[in-house]
Amino acid sequence: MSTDTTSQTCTITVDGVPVVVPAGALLIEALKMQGIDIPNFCYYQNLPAQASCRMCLVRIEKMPRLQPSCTTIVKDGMAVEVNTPEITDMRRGMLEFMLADHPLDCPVCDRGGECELQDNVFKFGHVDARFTEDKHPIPDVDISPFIYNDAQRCVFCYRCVRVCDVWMDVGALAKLNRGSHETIGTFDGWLDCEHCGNCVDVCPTGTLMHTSYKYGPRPWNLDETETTCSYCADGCRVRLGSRGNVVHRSVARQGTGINEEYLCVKGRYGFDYINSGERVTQPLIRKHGELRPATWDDALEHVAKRLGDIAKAKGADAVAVLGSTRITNEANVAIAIVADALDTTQLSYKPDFDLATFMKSVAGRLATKADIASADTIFVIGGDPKEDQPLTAHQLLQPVLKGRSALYVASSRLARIRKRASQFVHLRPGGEAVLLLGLAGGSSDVSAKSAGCAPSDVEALRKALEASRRLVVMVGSECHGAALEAAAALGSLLGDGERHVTYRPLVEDNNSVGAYDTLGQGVAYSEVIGALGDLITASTPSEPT
Amino acid sequence: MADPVKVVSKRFGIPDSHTLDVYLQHDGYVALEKAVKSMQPAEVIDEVKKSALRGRGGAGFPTGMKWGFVPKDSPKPKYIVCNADESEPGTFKDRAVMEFDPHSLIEGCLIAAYALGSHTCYIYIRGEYGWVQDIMDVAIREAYAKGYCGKNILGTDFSCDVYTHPGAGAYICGEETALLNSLEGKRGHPRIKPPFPAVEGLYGCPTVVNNVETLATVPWIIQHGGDTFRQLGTEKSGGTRLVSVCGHVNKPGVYEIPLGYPMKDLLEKECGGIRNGNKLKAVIPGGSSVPIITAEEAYRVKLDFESIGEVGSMLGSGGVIVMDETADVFESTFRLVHFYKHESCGWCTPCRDGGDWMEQIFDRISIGGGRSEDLDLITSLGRNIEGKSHCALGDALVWPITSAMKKFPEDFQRALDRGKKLLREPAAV
Repeated sequence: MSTDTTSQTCTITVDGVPVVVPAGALLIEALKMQGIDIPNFCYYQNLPAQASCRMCLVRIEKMPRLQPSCTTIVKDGMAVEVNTPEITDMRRGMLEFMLADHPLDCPVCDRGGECELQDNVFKFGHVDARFTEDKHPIPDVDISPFIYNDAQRCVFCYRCVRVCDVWMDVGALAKLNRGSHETIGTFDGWLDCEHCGNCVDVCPTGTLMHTSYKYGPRPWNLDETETTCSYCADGCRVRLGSRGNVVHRSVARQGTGINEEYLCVKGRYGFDYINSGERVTQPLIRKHGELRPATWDDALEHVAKRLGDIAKAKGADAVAVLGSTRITNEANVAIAIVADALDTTQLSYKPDFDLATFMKSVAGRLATKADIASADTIFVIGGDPKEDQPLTAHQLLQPVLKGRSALYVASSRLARIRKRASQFVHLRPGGEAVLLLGLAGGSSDVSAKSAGCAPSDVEALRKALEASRRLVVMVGSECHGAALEAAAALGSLLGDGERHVTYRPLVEDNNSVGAYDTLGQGVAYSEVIGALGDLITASTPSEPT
Repeated sequence: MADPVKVVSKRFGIPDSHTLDVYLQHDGYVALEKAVKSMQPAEVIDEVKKSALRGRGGAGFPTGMKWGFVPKDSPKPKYIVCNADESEPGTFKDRAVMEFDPHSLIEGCLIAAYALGSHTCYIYIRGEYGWVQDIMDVAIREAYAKGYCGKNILGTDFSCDVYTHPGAGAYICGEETALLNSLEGKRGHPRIKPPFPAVEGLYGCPTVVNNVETLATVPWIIQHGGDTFRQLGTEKSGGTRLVSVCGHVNKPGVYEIPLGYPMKDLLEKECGGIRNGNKLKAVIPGGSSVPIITAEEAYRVKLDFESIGEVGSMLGSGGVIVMDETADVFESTFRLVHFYKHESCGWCTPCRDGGDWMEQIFDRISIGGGRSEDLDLITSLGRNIEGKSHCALGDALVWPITSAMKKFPEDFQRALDRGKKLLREPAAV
């Protein structure tokens, strides 16, 4: 046995068979790479070790007790037994304990079919039950409009508690009571949180469940469609579970997208519009003041004729064609082709963020996930990633929570992300530009007065930003004009020292950048719609329906 | 046998022994002065290693070795934590130390702090010991006033603060890592080991957690030398220790005995024999979590770590529970099962669910619902709990049960038969 330091691997023996595994890996992960699945409940990638379910115990040579493989780091020459009568008995024993007070209500449990407890009992459990005592029944309770808690099904893996603490930095879930009386619950019976629903996704049993999926179709009856969430610019991968024409749930457990297993409340629960009866699902033509169903052929012919008439009567530019920040690049390009065919110059889209100005001024490249993860300072101005781009907020909070980076927030809104900010500067609405002026070396007194904060705030913020070496500037949609230009060039405005600055525009819509790329060269939206544009769009949805 | 030397209990019984004045009259703070003025920290650790002092909290880990694990070059602060969360049923020796000789504990803490380069000691006191904490607080104030605690102790460069902290009544917080969690203000759950507290303990810093009696023994060792202490006991188990005897003896109480002292002598000489002249039935020699032994074993065993290991039990926390022939071992075991089930923190599956199940079986048997297969079931459940739990509480639940079933099967059989009898003779209406 020798450690090959160049390739960072080591050799361990599993049930007498030597295998090569990455050095420094967790035993449970190393075994998984070898195709050996160790049953577990509390172990979860990216969550702190727990070692409480005791399902993953293995026998390691020279150790007096069985060791949890989820906390053991592989060592060269380690001899592990994972498939002996001792381990088999142990697994049976643990599952028997977990089932002892379990309601065994699989037939009505919505997790049935994708329940880790069920799967493990089928694989490793006892055939017959020896538990003949009384169970401690606990009724299921709604802890929010979205989530209910069936505490008796719990196996106490604490994944939900850790997800809420570590991923979400919310801490709304906790363990209540002690010993056999303990339950997972909330602090005053009600879930005070962002309702991301990640706790439900990671739950290995039917303890925390979606209310919207209660007594819904069984998981194996759902058609699962992988798609991209259409809410914000983060573009999380979701898997929509549907049966017939009804979408029942939206999950991210497959972990294949950039969001891995994360979803925010919008992506998780904001799908019911798909099932709405008010959706327009076929072409309608208004005749005599009444919308009547029509075929696509009729509808297209009708529209083409009307547009042709208008162009003939009032000139080609009388027809404006608008794309959208919420549809795909292909659709926007198709819209541009239509405009071209109509020979109109009035082609535009309604931007949610002034990307034209931002892109013109930006003094560095756009921040990637890796930039955010490795930044020492993150500065958010004029926006709230928790609202605009929840996944970005989640990603930027991870290094902040671990103390590897510092967060600074300046906004006229009480941005929720400020909870973990080293400094939060509450600006007067429209005060972004003067604040940035102050940060760029202008008088902090003047800047603070106009921005509505204290001069010491500006000073402190300037010092912090100047001390940074890897800075990410997140520019929110509250920055307009001069503020946007200054924010996008903050790196070149800050004094003192070399630093690596990257930028992230906090655009709100799912394809703002695509719309800018495909239609950004056209006429400005305000020119097309005129000064009344905002009023008109305020009363009509900008999304394509 | 000559009157044994008293180490920890030498000031017990002296009027006002808890005050600083009386303490100073009886070698008080001599050892601290010797340590900080004439010894290097490493010499202090060596002296403790030489004494073969083993932890008095239950596990019996060599104290000097524990101190040696603390990294010398760590830039982090180091902490001394005194485990005064004495909650093991049948154990009340630490309470006596803190009640009658609080300054010896403070002195021990300070010497440990000096040896390990620490500047902060916490004494985590069991929540139910409210008045004990008051005594400790008064003693600490006295020590501060006279310059034995705080800045520049005895005019040297060594500074150290001592604090008390009350627990909230959970047995699990006597487990050292759960204690640290509790001290940090978190829920009292045992932590995953490694890292051990010596490397990553309180607030993630190197920490030594020692029992009250262990620390209170240290001043004597420094004053008289490690070898002198070692010679009081056996080769492997140095010195003397306190045992708290309770149950069916004429004179229950806290006694200091040299390690290797015969249990028979303890029961008959110190404790004045079994009450009412009854016959001895069973002894739990080291606090409720260690295996029970029979009278015959008790009369031949010696109180040291090795000898007691030979009869399959442990010295544990020194809480000797004596039961005479009137005791029913099934009932006493049931009481312990109830205790451990109640005190299980709920962290890990075997202890949480296994303990509950176990208690329900005992409960059923005790009310006459015993079945012939129950004993096998208990044994099997015990096997699934023992050695599989996150901390030693799971083992502490199982050991009393399995040992009691092995050594007193007739009591268990009688409990099982109770049900058959009830079936034959329906209760009078």
